[in-house]
Amino acid sequence: MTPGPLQLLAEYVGGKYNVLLAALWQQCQLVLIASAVTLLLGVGVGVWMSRRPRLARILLRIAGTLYTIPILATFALLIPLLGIGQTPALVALVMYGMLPVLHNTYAGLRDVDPAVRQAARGMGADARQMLLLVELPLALPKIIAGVRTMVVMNISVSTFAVFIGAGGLGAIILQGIRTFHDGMLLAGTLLTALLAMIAEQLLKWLEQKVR
Amino acid sequence: MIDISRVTKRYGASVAVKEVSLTVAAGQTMVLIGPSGSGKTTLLKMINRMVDFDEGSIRVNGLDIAGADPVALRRGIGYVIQQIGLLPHFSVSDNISFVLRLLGQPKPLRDERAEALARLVGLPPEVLVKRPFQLSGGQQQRVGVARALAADPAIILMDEPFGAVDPITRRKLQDMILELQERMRKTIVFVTHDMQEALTLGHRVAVLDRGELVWQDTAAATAESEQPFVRELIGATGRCAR
Ligand SMILES: Nc1ncnc2c1ncn2[C@@H]1O[C@H](COP(=O)(O)OP(=O)(O)O)[C@@H](O)[C@H]1O
Ligand SMILES: [Mg+2]
Repeated sequence: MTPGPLQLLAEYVGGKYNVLLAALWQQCQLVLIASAVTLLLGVGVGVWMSRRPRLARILLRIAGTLYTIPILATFALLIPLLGIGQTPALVALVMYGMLPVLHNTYAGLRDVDPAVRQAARGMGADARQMLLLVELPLALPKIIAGVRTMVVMNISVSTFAVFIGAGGLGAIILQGIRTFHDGMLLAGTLLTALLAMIAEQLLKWLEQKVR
Repeated sequence: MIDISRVTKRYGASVAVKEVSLTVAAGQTMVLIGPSGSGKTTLLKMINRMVDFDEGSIRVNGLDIAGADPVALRRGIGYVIQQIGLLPHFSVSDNISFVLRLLGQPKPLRDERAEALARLVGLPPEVLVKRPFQLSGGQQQRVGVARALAADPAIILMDEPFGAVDPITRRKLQDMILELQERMRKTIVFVTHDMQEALTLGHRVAVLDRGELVWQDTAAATAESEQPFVRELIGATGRCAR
C-alpha cells in the first residue's frame, strides 16, 4: 500500500524539520526586509507625492506598470544588473510591492477631510504637526491595508525567488516538484500559505485597531 | 485690537476684497455680513494669515502681521469654522486642548484645561472621553468654540459657525456666545449671512458687497439704517424668520 499525502508530510517534517526551519527562516528574512524597505519607501514617497498631485499621477502609473510585469521576467531582467542571490530578489520584491503602499498612502492622505485640515492649520499646526497629528493618523487604516496587501503578496511571490538563488520555502517546493516528493512539496506549500494567513490576520487586526 | 487698513486681495483678474479698512476694538464683537461670495471668509482668513493679501496692512494688537510667523500668529488667535473640523481620531478632551498640544504643554495640564472649558461652553463632563461623532451637531460646535478658547487668545475668528445647525440649537449657541462675551470680553470677528444673528451678537456690524465695505456702524444704528443694501439684508432675514 502506498502512503497517503498526510503520512508523507509527517515523515518529511519529522525527518527534515531542521532543513524546513532553515528555509522558513530564510523566507521570513527575505519577506521582512523587503516589506520593511517597501513600507518606508512607499509611505515616504507617498507622503512626498501627496504634496504634488501631478507628479503623483505619473509615479502611480510607473508603480502600476512595474506591478504588471510578471515577477519571473523581473528576475530575469535583474540578473545582468545585480546577478543572483538575495539582493536581486529584494529589489524585485520592492519594485513589485510598491504599488499598494504608494497608492494607499496617497489615497489615505488625499481623503483627509479638508475641514479637518483647515481647522488644524487655522489653530496653528505647523507642517510637521499636520502630518504627524492629523494626516498620517487619519490615513493610517488605509496605509495598513496597503501594507497588508504588500506583505501577503511578498510572502507568496518570494517563493519564486528560488529561481535567482535566494532559497527560502520556494527551494523546498521546487525540489519537491522535481523529485516527485509529495511530502516535501506539501510541507513547503502549506508553510507558505500558513505564513500568508498569519500575516493577513495580524495586519487585519491592526487595521481594525487603529480605525 | 485688530486694525485692517486698505486691504486688497485678488484671485487672478477678480478682486475678492477691495481696499477694505476696518477697526475692531478690543473686547468687542464685529460681525461681517454680506451675500455669498462677498469676501467675508477671505477677509477673515487674512487676519490669521490663512490667506495672504496683495495690498494694505493688518495689525493685530499693534503687531504688523505681514512680518509675523503665521504659525505663531494662529496659535494666538481662536478659529471656528462652520464645518467645525473636529479631529475624528481624538477624544473630545484632546480636541478641546489641541492648541495646547501644538504648543507642547503636558497632558495633565491639557486635560484639566479641557475639563474647565467644557464646563464653560455648557458641555457635560461625560462627553470629554467620547469621540466627536458621538456628539450632536450643537454639542460638536460647542467643542469647536471651547477649542478656540483653549490658549486663552485675545482674538477669536468665527466663520459662519452656526450656519449648519437647526434654528433652536442656533439660538442656544448664540446665547452661549453672548454669555461668554459677558464674562470674557474677547475681540471677536464673526461672519454670518443672517442679519438677525448679526444684530443679536454684534457690537458693530460691517457689511460687505462684492469685496467692498459698504456699511459699518453699531448694531443699533445698523438696525435703523436707511441704506438700501443694508435694508435689503434686514428684509431678507425678516422674510426667512418665522
Ligand atoms: N482660493 C480661491 N481661489 C479663487 N477665488 C477665490 C478663492 N477663494 C475665494 N475666491 C473668490 O473670492 C470671492 C470671495 O469669496 P469668499 O471670501 O469665500 O466669500 P464669502 O465668504 O463672503 O462667501 C468669491 O468670488 C470667490 O469665488
Ligand atoms: Mg464664506
